[in-house]
Amino acid sequence: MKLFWKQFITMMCFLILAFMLFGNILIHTFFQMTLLRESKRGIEEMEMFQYALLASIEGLPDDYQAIELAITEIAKSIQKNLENPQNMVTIYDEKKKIIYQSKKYKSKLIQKKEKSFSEIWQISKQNGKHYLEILFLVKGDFGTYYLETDRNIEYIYTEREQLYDSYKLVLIAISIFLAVLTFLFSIRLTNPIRRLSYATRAFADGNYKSRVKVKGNDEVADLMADFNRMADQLENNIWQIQENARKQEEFTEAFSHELKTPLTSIIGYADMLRSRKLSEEDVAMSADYIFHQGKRLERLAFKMLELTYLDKQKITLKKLSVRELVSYVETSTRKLLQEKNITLEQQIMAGTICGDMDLLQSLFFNLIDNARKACSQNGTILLFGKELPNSYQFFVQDDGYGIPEEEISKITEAFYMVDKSRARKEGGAGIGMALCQKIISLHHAEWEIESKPEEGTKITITFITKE
Amino acid sequence: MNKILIVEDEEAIANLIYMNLKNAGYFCEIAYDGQEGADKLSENHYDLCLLDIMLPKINGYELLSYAKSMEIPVIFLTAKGEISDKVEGLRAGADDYITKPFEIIELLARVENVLRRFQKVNQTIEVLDLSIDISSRTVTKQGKPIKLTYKEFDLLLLFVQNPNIALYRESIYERVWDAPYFGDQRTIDLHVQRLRKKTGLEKQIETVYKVGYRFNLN
Repeated sequence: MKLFWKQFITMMCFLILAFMLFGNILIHTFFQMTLLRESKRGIEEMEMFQYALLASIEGLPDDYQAIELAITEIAKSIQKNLENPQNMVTIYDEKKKIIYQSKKYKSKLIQKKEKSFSEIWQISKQNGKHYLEILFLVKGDFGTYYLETDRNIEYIYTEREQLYDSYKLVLIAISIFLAVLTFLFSIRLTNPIRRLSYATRAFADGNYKSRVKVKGNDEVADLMADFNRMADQLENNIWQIQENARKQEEFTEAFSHELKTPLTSIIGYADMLRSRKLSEEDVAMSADYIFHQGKRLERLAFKMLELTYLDKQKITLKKLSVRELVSYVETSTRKLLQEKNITLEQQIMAGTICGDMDLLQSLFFNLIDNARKACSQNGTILLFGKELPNSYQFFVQDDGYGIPEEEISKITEAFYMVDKSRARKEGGAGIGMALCQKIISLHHAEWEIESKPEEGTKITITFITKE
Repeated sequence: MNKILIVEDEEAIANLIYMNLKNAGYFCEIAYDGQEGADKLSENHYDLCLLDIMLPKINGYELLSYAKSMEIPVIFLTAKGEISDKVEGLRAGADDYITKPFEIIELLARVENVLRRFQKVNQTIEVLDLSIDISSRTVTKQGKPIKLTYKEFDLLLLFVQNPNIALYRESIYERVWDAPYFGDQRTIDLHVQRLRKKTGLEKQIETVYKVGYRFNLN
């Protein structure tokens, strides 16, 4: 059963029950009060009757027969003066024998009387009508008599029935009104849940942009806000996963391309060598191609190894001197730079940074090698080091080809090459920058690449020296 | 002589294809990037274009539509081995594709195939005193017809189209029988023997020790 119907039905049941109970109590109280009022009036009337009877008997002679007669007469006259002449009067003598009855009526009240009492009353039903029976003791020198009046109080009961009937109508009207009200209330209460459910279904169906508009600040609103937070997080995660998958796919594609290209040459030339009689020149050329493409594969394999190795590595950072690091880098790049007659200008402030010597050497070697590849003959590469209050900053700057602005963000992706044919000619595998990125993040350092085509590239690396 | 344009940015691969096509008797030119390829296509007439997909400056797909507009048949050279890439290439209008790395006899066979489809090569090949009609698959020796089986004909064609190349049994089997070779040497040797006898090319089809056969043509 839907929550809406559960709530609607429960609320309706409670409300109708409450109204029924309320009506019943009200009518019952009213009825009781009327009954009480009626009996009080009856007793007052009886008291008057008793008084009148006693007063009349006082002046009579002590004659038994006469008294009975007199009482009868007095009763008759008093009855005429009663508020409602319909009320019946019965007088009993000491032995409970009826000595006067205004109208034939069989009362059992006299049987119930206690030994000593002044007045009792009860309600009884005769001929389908309710009567209020009141019994009084009249006692004096003249003897003991019982005086009873029976008042027809059926009208109280009829009134009650009428009240019940009209209340039933009122209750039906109230129920209809309540039903409408509860219905609207239930809709209003469950509407946010429906919206949330709709949004969740949309999300489950793959619309990761699906959100709910949060209104109010009740529990459902909290739930909605939570849903939105969860959806944000999920969307972000899904995006991340998709992005990772895309990168992985691109990586695999690029890797297979990088692998297949040298393989094609190697297999092709080897095939030619084994199946054709080539001239000495062609044999030398083919062998040379095989050798160089093999070298290229070797470079690719080593860089890939380095890259996967870095992925799994936990490095220990040690304090090391910047000057020492730079002198290593200078020595290792000297021969390469001489080939193109490139000058490495350096200006290094003394300082220490925390890091892994081998990895940092690899980082600067790669950066300078990249700068070298970008430079033309007789170019200049600047390597500056600067001590800052909480960090140490390096600049590697070249005056080479530069990188188009839209490609800067991609150059750290493995196998990405801005100018593929030039990169190959320079012996690049397209992994250097990805390696640098890894090393830098392992050192918790940051780098920034600024570049303008035809003007050169400047890379700023900042190592934190103090926490 | 058919003229073929090779558009390939890898110098080693471009040169490899160049050397082999030249050996097979084609006239070739090389373009090292998309721009150069487009220039060469507009300046000269070519019978076939071998096109790498990942090219600097103008990519292979763009160059393909340019070549197709000039009604030049195109064979794609691609390192992408995915089916979807092949389908994309063929849908873009390529007449065939070769995935890297490739074997030389495969390259030559595909080139030959596409050229024949576009009727840029003779349907009959004249070798020594043999005349081979490819479309009707008939061979005549000095005007007299020779009866060859299906495989024998393919074998002859393979030899004739790859002269002076040592053909490895493995390559022969894969090409003619179109199945992976598991060392079933006897089948090949038997067919070659019968072919030699029927065509009288006993001297020309030379057994290369431990390798396979070579069709010598001077």
